[in-house]
Amino acid sequence: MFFPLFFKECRQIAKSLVYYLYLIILVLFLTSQLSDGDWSDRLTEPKPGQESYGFKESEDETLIMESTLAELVRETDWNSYATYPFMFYKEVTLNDSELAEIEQILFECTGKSFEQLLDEMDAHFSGYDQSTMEGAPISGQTFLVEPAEDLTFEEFQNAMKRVCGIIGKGSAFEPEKLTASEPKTYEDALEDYRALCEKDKVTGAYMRLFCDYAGIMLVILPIFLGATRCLRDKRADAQQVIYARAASSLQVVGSRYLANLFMAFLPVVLIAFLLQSPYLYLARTNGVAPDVLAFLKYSVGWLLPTLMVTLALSFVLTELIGNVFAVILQVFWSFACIALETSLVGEFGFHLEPRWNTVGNTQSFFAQLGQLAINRLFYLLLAILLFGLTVLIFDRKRKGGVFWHGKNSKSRG
Amino acid sequence: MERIVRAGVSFLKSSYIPHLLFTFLFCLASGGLMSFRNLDERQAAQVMEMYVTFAGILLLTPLFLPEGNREIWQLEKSKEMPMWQLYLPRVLTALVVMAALVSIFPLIMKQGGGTFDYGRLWLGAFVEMLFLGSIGFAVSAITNQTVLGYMLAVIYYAVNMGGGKYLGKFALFQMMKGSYGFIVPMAVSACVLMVGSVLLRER
Repeated sequence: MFFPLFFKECRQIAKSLVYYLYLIILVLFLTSQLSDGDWSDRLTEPKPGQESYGFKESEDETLIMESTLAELVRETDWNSYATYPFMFYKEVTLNDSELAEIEQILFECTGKSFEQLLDEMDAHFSGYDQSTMEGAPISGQTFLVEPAEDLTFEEFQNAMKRVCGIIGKGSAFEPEKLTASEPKTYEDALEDYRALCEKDKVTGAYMRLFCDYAGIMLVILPIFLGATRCLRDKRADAQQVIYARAASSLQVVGSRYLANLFMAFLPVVLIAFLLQSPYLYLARTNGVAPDVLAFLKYSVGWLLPTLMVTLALSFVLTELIGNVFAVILQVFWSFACIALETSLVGEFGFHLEPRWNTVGNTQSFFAQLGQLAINRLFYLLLAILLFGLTVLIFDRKRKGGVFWHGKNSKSRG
Repeated sequence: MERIVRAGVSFLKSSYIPHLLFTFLFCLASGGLMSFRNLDERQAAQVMEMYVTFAGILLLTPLFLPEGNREIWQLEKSKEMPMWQLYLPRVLTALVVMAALVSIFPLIMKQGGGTFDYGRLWLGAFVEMLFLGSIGFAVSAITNQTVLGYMLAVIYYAVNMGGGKYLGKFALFQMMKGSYGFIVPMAVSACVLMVGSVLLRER
């Protein structure tokens, strides 16, 4: 009973307009985003004496103070402070008296007036070409403000607490969030390159970037596939006919869910395979044996749980609410999930869409792999739970139970 | 006239209230997500363009919701009352709510010490909201699937976050860059999309 239902669902999906829109948007987005960058320089061995080897995170307290003060000077100059009070980005602008308080804190921490600090900042940034792709980020990362000689780290943390009191919650100045980055040495870069060749076998590094972009789309697009499927019976006035069929609720909902999952995931795997191909060639020309199956490992391990949860939530909400309103609720949930991402590279936590917006940083990735595995396992279980809930709701409606805007509702999709 | 009002009230009661309530909650949530203090022209535009204009999708896309059921649509078409008279009160309700939102938000920002041109911000935000909503409205009208209306309008909004440069005068978030040249082309396009959609439903 299951397989005929499954194949019938697949055929229906293949005929639906929503599915073709899903394909078009997915292909356009991924090819446009991934054709922009030329990452081949990351895949060449670093040479001694290069101008820059990139940056790495640092725990040096002096560097943290210098980097944080530099950020505070810049944001105070713009009068625009980035905060994440409810984990969403919120720009805070201060009035004159609040700005004066921040300038006073800067004076206490550095022993310099705000005008002096601005002059130093202008002098630093004028040394870089801000219009180039390289100049802008490097000038930002290398701008540091020296703290006063007698300032201890504890006093600095207290000063930052005062800054947070003025700006509000969720800024980068909260004592527990203070971080800094420092330039990588030649040895660091060489070690990274070797890890990229030996652990990632080149293709793995590129597939992480693919997953980063594909994940964004898989948090949004499957909502519409799921909602369309759940509302189709209602649009066709076929609910009673479906409810009366011999197949169990698990078979009906399971075949629908798995068919949508299969049809949504298939193009993702195919695009991953196609986009990986040039990197197979690049790896071989560099004398590295590439991981040919990286596209499959990353698609399944990284992207499938995201797709499963998005689709399962779409199923459960649409089945529960019974109309198109479910779509808009989930769109907000999806935007919230994307907005919750505070880091573009790593720090997976329990984010639905793990980000890795770079090629390489292999050692850092493998150090965080355990965290990623827990994250993915969590979402896999959540998807199964949501799917189970959908089956229960469907079964209850089938047996004549009334749900919110469910079977007996007059609302329409 | 009475028939038109009755049709509007019926739509409001049967289908539109949850969408209005959700829009209201969406606006209430802005207090936690956005700062309204001491905003200049660019920052005020950011609040309006990145947040408030999204309400256009919430308000205009579901206006053909009842006709998602073909039987209802056929029944409505068989009646003497032209379809545009059925849609007029729905569109007017949405436009009034949109105008109210676009009026209230800049007032709150002005009270918070904002320094910007109220009229210009109002006009720009209203046109952007109308244009964004008209995409969902038109797609829903053409396909008779509200899900598709939401899908394309949401995708259009998302594309503008990174790919606005490809959309020329039809790119969202232009006020944040100090550009107001989009107002006329966007307003005209929104009107064409909305009027065209209603005419299409008449056929």
